[in-house]
Amino acid sequence: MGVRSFETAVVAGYAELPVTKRAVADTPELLRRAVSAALEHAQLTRAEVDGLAVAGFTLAPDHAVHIARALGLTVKWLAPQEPGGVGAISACMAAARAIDAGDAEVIVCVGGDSLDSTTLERIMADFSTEVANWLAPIGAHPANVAFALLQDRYMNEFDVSREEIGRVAVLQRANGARNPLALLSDAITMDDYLAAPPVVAPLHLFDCVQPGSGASAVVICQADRAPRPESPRLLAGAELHNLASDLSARTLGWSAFIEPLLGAAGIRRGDLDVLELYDDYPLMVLWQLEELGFCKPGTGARFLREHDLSLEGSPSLNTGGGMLAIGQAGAAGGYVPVVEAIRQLFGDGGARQKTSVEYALASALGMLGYGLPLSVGALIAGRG
Amino acid sequence: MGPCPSCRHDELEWAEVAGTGLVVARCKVQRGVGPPFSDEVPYVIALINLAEGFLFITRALGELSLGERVRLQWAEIQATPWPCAVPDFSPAHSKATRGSKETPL
Repeated sequence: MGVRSFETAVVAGYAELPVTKRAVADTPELLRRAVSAALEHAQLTRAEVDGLAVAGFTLAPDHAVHIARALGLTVKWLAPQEPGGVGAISACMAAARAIDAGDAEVIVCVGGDSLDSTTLERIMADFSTEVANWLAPIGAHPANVAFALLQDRYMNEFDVSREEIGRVAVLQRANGARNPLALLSDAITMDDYLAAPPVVAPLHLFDCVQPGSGASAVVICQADRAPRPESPRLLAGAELHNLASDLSARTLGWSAFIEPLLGAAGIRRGDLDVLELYDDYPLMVLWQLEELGFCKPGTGARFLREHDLSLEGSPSLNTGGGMLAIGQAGAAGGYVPVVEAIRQLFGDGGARQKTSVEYALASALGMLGYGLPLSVGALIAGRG
Repeated sequence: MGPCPSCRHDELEWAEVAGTGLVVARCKVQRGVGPPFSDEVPYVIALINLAEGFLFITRALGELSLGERVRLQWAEIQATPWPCAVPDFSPAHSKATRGSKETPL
């Protein structure tokens, strides 16, 4: 099931551009800015980079090597990645394996997109053959409809209210209010959440991420090659694609690998200090808490009510506010949980820094098929 | 649509279905879609468990309860790039037509 432990790989640096509602630059330029900032954070130079993993929904007509050229990188290891939510975890896993194997010494993983609303609409209507043939013609293209259907079924099957799901959004927006990069930088109350206008009922405005433009990057190398001794270690990762047979699935994949993944990282679930869970919708945060084994199916909302997952609690959940606060810039979305996990391990969290973070988990889902997410993954990192 | 989800047999044939089923989930699209659907909101999308035993995402009409029996009709929509008939489901016992009053989810 793709569980892999890593021996020598660390994250030497990272960067996250703020998500902007308007496209401020084209995609190659956004990727270039993210890579430059990540290398500066890592105290490494462009000339030292010899590997590149890249993802974006708007790379065309460019391919990975054209992006290497746009970034000014000469590489001997080149890995195009899926642009969906799991792409960042897949990129980090591939890079960590390559570093362990000696295939490359300094690898940059980058994802991002320059998106306006017309481009986004076109990408979503043409997202896959299944979407183009069966969903786009009836106005059911990704992503709101698929998750609205999942949420309607979940709410009725487990007798969960909007208010209970809304706890995720209220908690994350409180964390986002301490994040200078947040596009939605204000906290919200439960009354705000419940009073928000419907988008695709049962999804309302504060269930949906704000789309925009941006890019993020991380730099991965061997521990002894990293200039900063506090560079977090990548301990283990897992990914799984196309497990669920159809959209009646209750298991998207995390439950198939979480125990071996914790074992490969050499930790117990209770050792995790921060959980950075991909939050395209609040329901999916609850879903991940359940499949990652923090609670039983259908009890994510109750777990959230009975446990303090704020910055003061343990584990702390989506410490930067997640995409619900930061926004979603295409392929940069998958980097939100990864970058925040690494940021917390570096101790760079500023007003939202949790004290004494030893272990962090980043988790994500992505790439909608016929009404269900097809890809899931998770990555565990530890303090350097 | 790929191989059979239960046995992974991959040489599939088109087959006619009865056009009846039970409602598994529904949602109501009210905003957040571009043209031409932005002119058509609100509309209902439902997940139907067809009598033949598979799940189908479709347009639906009117107030649907979970577990309710529904049946297929066809609806003309102005989908780009040309108008076409798409599957639409409504309560099996009703004579509801498009444009009838829709109730909130």
